[in-house]
Amino acid sequence: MCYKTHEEDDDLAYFDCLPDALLLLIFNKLHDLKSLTNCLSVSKRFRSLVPFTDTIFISIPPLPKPSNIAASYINNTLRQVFHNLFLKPLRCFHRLMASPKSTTMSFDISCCHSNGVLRIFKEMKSLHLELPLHGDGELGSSNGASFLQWKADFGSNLRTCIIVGATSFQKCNTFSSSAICSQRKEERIFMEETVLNDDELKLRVIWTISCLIAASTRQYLLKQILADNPNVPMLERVVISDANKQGMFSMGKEELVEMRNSINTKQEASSSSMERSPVPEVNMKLWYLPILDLPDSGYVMKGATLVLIRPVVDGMIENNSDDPLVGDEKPFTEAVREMSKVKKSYLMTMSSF
Amino acid sequence: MLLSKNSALESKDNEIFEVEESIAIQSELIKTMTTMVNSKAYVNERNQMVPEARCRKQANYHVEQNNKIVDEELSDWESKFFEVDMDDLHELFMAANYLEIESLLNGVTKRVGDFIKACKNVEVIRQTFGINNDFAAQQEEEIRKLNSWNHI
Repeated sequence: MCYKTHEEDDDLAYFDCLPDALLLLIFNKLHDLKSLTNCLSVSKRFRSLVPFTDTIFISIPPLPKPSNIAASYINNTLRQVFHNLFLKPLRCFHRLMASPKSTTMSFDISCCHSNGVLRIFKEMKSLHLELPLHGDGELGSSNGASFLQWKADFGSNLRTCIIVGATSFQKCNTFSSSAICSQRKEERIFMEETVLNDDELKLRVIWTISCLIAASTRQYLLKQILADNPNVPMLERVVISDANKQGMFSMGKEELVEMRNSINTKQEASSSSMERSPVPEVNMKLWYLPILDLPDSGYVMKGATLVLIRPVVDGMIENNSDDPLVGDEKPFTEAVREMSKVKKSYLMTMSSF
Repeated sequence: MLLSKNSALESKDNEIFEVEESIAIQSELIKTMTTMVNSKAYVNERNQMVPEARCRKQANYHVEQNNKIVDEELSDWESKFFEVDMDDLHELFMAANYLEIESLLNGVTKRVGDFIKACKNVEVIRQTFGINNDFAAQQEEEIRKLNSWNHI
């Protein structure tokens, strides 16, 4: 390590004095792909070290309009027409039921293609993609959801999905009064007996479907990225979130291995028309409260709904809430914690789509 | 007498700091040295340090505060602590590296990362950190092609 006196110009010696390990530590904390690619061009030394960065965050930009949109729309339409000739009628029905809007790729993942800059990072351990703001408004907002967030964990298929939705979500500052708290507790026992009517239930099923579609779209996206970038043996964690902070798709080490094996073994040509992976048959467990107070986060939810989804092959859903998925978003985490205490729940099965 | 719970650490420019033991051993280097000495009742332990008095004091201070403040206040305090210019940051960096204090090192590397993120393009990075461009023109062009999606 070089030692310098104060008289010298410190700036010039700054990075030269840092050992490679420290420089790499800086790059590992940088995360932002754009900055990292800038660093690639700075000097030969940077160029040699940056590829060893282990954590990458990519803020995916939206596709520039309008000419690209026209091209991709035409491509999508042509592809859909082509596949329609071979699709069974039932599949058509499912596609109609599912909103096609969220499945068209309106963002630019050129950096993740096989000749994109992502291929440089062979030592990548953790990858976080953030999809841009949803152009069509937030998920569920056209279906009466003031609040709709989901977290999904995937392997080669869906493993778990947790959804929290509410018809109303508002800030509330009146939790400090203990009188209100005790009143709410009494009301709660009454509220827990409230039954959802058919329309309300149907609405929640629609919320669930839109979240599952969003989640499976992200899985499809990741499969494409992994197929384009096969040489990342150290990859342990992938998260795909969005700028709206609505949905978090995540995969851990085992799950990534599982997914990579499934990419290698089978071709999923049939799902390419939908631009998302098929959602398997799932068990859904749904909890409902007409009013839910979230004192820690400072919000009140109306029509609060918690849905826990697992594939049918896993059998019955246990009521354990030590789920590693819940973490960052405060209202979401608090809602999950509170709602899962409610004794009454609905159990449903949804066929695959 | 509380001296047995404190370590006295001497920096290279001969300034002595009294530090609580629990704080001193946050530095991996000091921790290793104290275990090597293998004595519980030491009163004064003198270690020769390379870093200068000021940065040693800062490292010390940081560690001390780390133990006292709760989460939210800590992040505010930390962001103020690291709002220093490049020279000071460099000193902190060297101190954290030499003394092997993980939390300090994390804070400094993150701050340097923030500097890099704030740079709009490659040239600004070079200027901020005083790095020379040692690429041949052709090599630079190849790398620029990779970055074409970057829309700089």
